[in-house]
Amino acid sequence: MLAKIENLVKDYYLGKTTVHALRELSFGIEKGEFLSIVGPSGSGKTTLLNLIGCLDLPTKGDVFINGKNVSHLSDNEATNLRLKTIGFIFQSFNLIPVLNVYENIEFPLLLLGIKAGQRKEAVVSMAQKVGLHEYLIHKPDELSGGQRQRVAIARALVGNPLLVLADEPTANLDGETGHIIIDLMLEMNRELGTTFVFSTHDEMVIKHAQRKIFLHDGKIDRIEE
Amino acid sequence: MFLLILAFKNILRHKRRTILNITALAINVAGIVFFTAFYRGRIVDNYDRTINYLTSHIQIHNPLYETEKRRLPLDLTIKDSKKIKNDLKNHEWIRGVSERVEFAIIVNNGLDQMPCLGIGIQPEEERNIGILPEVITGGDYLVPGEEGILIGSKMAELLNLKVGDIVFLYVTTSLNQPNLFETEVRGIFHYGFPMLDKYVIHCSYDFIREYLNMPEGATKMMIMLKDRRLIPEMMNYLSEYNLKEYSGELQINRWEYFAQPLIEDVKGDTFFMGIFFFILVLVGLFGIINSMSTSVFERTQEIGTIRAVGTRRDQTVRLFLFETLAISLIGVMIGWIIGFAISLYLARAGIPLGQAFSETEMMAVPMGEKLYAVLGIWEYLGTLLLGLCAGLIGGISPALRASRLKIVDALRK
Ligand SMILES: Nc1ncnc2c1ncn2[C@@H]1O[C@H](COP(=O)(O)OP(=O)(O)O)[C@@H](O)[C@H]1O
Ligand SMILES: [Mg+2]
Repeated sequence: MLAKIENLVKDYYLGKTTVHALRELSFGIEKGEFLSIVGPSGSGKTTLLNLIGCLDLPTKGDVFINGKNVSHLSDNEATNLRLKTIGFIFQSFNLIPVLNVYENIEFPLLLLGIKAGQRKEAVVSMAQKVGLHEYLIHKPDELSGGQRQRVAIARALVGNPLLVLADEPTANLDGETGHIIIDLMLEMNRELGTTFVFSTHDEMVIKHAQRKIFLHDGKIDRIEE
Repeated sequence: MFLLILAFKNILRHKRRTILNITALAINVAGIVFFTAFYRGRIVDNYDRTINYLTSHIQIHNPLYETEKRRLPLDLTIKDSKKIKNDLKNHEWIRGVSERVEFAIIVNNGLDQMPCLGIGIQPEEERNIGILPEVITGGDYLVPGEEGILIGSKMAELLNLKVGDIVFLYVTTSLNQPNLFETEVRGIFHYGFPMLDKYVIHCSYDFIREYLNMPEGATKMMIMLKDRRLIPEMMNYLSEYNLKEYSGELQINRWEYFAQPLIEDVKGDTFFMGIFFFILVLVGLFGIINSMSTSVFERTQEIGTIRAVGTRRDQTVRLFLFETLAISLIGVMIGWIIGFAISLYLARAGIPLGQAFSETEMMAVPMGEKLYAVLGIWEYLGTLLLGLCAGLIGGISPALRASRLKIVDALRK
């Protein structure tokens, strides 16, 4: 098992009111699986992925990644863990606008301190895999939404993470492009063996997923295999 | 390293804002650079003129002279002045040594009269001391032992005197007896410094000592060195000489001793310049803080992204600091170029001060018609330091704010 979520609780405090975003969630993520988290807007998908991705700390409960409890990490420990083991794909692509495609993909490798030669090899081969090798020197604003998300996928995968977290990666894309992007992620999942967890509120895009966890109001509604 | 590159790319992002910041900083730096060069020019000019017109580098007096100097005592002399002059005149650091006698004198043209300061000088020795021989605008310079006086241009105007006119002089001798005699105006000098041009006459040392009834000794000795920087060493040499030959009985002073008000003035001005510069830098600083804060705000989501992807807090701080530092460095360097160009021009062409200004009676320090900037290195090092500080201080708080953003909140933006 790659990750284990145990009795996970996340509350947000807004002045005097408390928002219970996640209420005692428990499930596991298998190595190499392609898991989708499905739920309407506000059901807690982003909150859940943020906690698995060590971007935030839970109110209660634990997240284990590779057997290690990551619910109480310091900022630097969490950053290091994200850099080495987790890749992120966002709804609004979140590329660095001043960097071109090549440089955007290269960014995590620079943080990892990988040598120039190896870096170039990894970036070019990853760009090829996502079909962007002809766009290496383009800036993000010269690309379509689908192309931007491909760059994001390449950036998430280039450092060989164990786990890729994609929070509604298709929400800003049209239906067809959305499918293509999910297909690409599936392909990467099969080819590289990387574990994928992606969230969506659109049941149409999840027909490919092996396993679906349905969230409702911060709780697991049901799990479909 | 790559953070540096990313920082540079970020600089080019908002070209207008960056250009504005760089321009503001460059103007400040250029201002500081050429003001400093100009100000240094002023100080150098003030000091040089004070030395050349008034004080020379080092003066020797009778130790009792100081307390009585208001009455220009003729009895408190340096008895051995002739020997001292001969001892010193061939020293390798010395350009000239001369003996002087200063005395109170009343100049009368037959109708009106003016009290003034008489200075008996050794005309040949004096060529190596001050610039009197060069500022004779009418008539002739003095000849040792010969009759006649040199008067200033202002006095000539006030007493309506021309070269060749006869004047009546009234002095009190060293024995406290009045002495009235007549002589001619040999020449007229014009320093462009009212204190000298109006109230001072020069005459030959040997000539006047007869009328003053002074058998021996000068009231003061003037020493001019080949270079002002030799003063400290020369002072050491002289105090040893003083101890050995005169058991420390001579009073030997550097020129600054006689120019206290000027020195104080310069100190005060330097202080205000410092404050002025500080305000300039502060203005630049606020510009940087302001635009960096805006940048952090605009890039919130991007900050969330790079943090999520694995950028540490300290790296985020550095990213923003590099950006402000680069902006301030570029600003400083452009400022240097502009400031250097202006300073160079001011050093070559000078700034005209205007007749009215340069000859006001109020003037405490002799000034010429033009001031020339003097180039130096400190303003460049100083502005570099100030620029880097402005970059650091201006950048640190926005950078810290960026690094402390909660990643999940930043990403939600
Ligand atoms: N930073 C926050 N402060 C307060 N409430 C929040 C915050 N983030 C999320 N929430 C609330 O938590 C619940 C779950 O949100 P979220 O995880 O974003 O759901 P989803 O991604 O499924 O739309 C929502 O009710 C949302 O309003
Ligand atoms: Mg969401």
